[in-house]
Amino acid sequence: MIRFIALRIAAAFVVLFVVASATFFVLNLTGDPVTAVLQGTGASQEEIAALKVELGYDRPIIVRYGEFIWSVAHGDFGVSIRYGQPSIDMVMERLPYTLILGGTAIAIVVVLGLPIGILAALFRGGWFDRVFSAATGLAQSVPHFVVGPLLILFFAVLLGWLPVSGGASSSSIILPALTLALYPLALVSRVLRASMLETIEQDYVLTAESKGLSKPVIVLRHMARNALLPVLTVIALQIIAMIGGTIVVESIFSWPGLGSFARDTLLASDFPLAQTIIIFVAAAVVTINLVVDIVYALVDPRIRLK
Amino acid sequence: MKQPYGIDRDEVLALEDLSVGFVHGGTSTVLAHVSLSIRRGETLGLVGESGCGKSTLGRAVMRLLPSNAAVDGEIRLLGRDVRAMDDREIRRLRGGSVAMIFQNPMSALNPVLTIGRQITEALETHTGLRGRAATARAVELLHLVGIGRPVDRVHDYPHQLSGGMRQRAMIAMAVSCDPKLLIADEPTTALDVTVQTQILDLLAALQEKLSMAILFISHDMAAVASVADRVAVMYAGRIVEQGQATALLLDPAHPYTSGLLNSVPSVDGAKLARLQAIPGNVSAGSAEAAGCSFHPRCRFAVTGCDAEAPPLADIGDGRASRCWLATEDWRPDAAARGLAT
Repeated sequence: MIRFIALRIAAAFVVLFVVASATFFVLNLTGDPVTAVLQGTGASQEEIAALKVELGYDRPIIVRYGEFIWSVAHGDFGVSIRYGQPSIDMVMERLPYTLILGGTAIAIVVVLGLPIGILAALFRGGWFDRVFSAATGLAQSVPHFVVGPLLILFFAVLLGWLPVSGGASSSSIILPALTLALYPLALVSRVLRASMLETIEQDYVLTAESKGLSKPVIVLRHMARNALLPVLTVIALQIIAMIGGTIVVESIFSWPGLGSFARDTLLASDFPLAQTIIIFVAAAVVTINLVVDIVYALVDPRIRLK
Repeated sequence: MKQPYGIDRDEVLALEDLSVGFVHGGTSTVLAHVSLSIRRGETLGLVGESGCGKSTLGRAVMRLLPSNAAVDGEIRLLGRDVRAMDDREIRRLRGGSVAMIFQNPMSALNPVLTIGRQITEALETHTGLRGRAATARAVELLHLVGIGRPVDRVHDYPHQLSGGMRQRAMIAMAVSCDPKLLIADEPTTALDVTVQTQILDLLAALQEKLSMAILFISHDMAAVASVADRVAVMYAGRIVEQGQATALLLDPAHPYTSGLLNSVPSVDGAKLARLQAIPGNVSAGSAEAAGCSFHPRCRFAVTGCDAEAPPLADIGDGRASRCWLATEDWRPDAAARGLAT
């Protein structure tokens, strides 16, 4: 198990290196950021050229690439062209908001989605299952930019229970987290329902019944554990998709996280800051995959490397 | 033949007039008026082709049939009416006084739980054993069924064991709570031949040690011949012949039994005897068809066989045959030689 984790961590660093390199080239080959940032601000050609020299953008791309990788490896992510502050500080200031938002959404998905999916499978064809099918179908077909405003309209404007937007009070998180969680909640519970229905047919469930085990033990220990395997993959993919979702949701709710910040930064061609954000997002994706691999190995003994 | 309640203390299982049908749209009859009994320490071999209802019979005893099953008749286990039991009682019975092993040890064991855990959960349910005491007992059981290094194996997952070892683990699980009846549903079918023999020997040895009765369900006549004391032959949901194993297998009285035995490959001296297949196959719903359900495939069928179903007639020596031709002396093999000449 230790070896398994060590191998996966080593692979994670390789992935990060590739992502950092790709990001660097994709951004830098689109042009130089100094011109993009200063254009239309009234700066003269001489001033732009001077800033290029000052920031090192006059040197060949391969030299800048080497320097970039070297400094990133040492924890130095450069200075934002637009704000003049170390980009790492700016990212770190906003990252916790996105983590809390994403974490809350994931918690909603897991805490509600798993029991709902199991119950829908156990009462297949009953009223709960029928309500479930309709509700998840609806939840899966409405995009964030419709759900968010609808929730705001209902809970914030009409009922006045929750704040419209921002991140000032602790209840502000509820609506953006719900918006972000809705689609994965529906998907995860549907996949689990289907997966549970498949395990009901399995021989080992009959064996468990023939041993005289009680219904809850059969459902949780024998069925759910096996049914969870495909669901884990879906949860992992949904968490990764959620990173993209935060860009929209944070913008709708003016949530001060990394998602809305990333949008602004990319539109402004602030390369050092954009690179930092992308590397952090990649690191998040890699970490999620690593955690899922470990959870997978814990749940399914057949995957463990010997 | 029929014993009143509580008189025969050696009776482990008795089925009286058991019928099972499955409801989906209409009802299809899978078992029709089956009566049989198993006594303590006895092995009853239940044979027949796939789809004749033998697995349904095994599951009916433990009330493990799907919810669309319609059951009629009596199932008496250790003198108690299984069909009248509430959920608690039936759970105490499953894995307690009756245990079951299945055809495919690959899929019958849960892939994400260790062998040890799957044994200890049965122990926890039926005996007071928990934690280390339960694990220690699981190790003993694995040793009992002939698994080497049981202290290590108890922590293994099913995929780490071979097919034969898995079936041994399955048997250890089944006998863990000292059952009075073991229902073995095709326990050797999925295993290769040398392993089959080992498993059959193991079952025989355990039966002696634990004095349990075994309902041995199989389509494999050779396996049945090596373990059964008595044999019941099923065709299309009915018992067509029953009797002592040796007498029945050496000298079958029903045309279907004879057909089954002739379809087993055997080496007769130096030359391989020619296999005789029974023409046709078990047609669905033939349990309700008019006349003897076997008559469309029977080479001895005469007028009248298609009109009325024959009763299970007593032909002496504790044997019975469901055939209009059945008498103490009539035997299909002899009759076939008569037809040939």
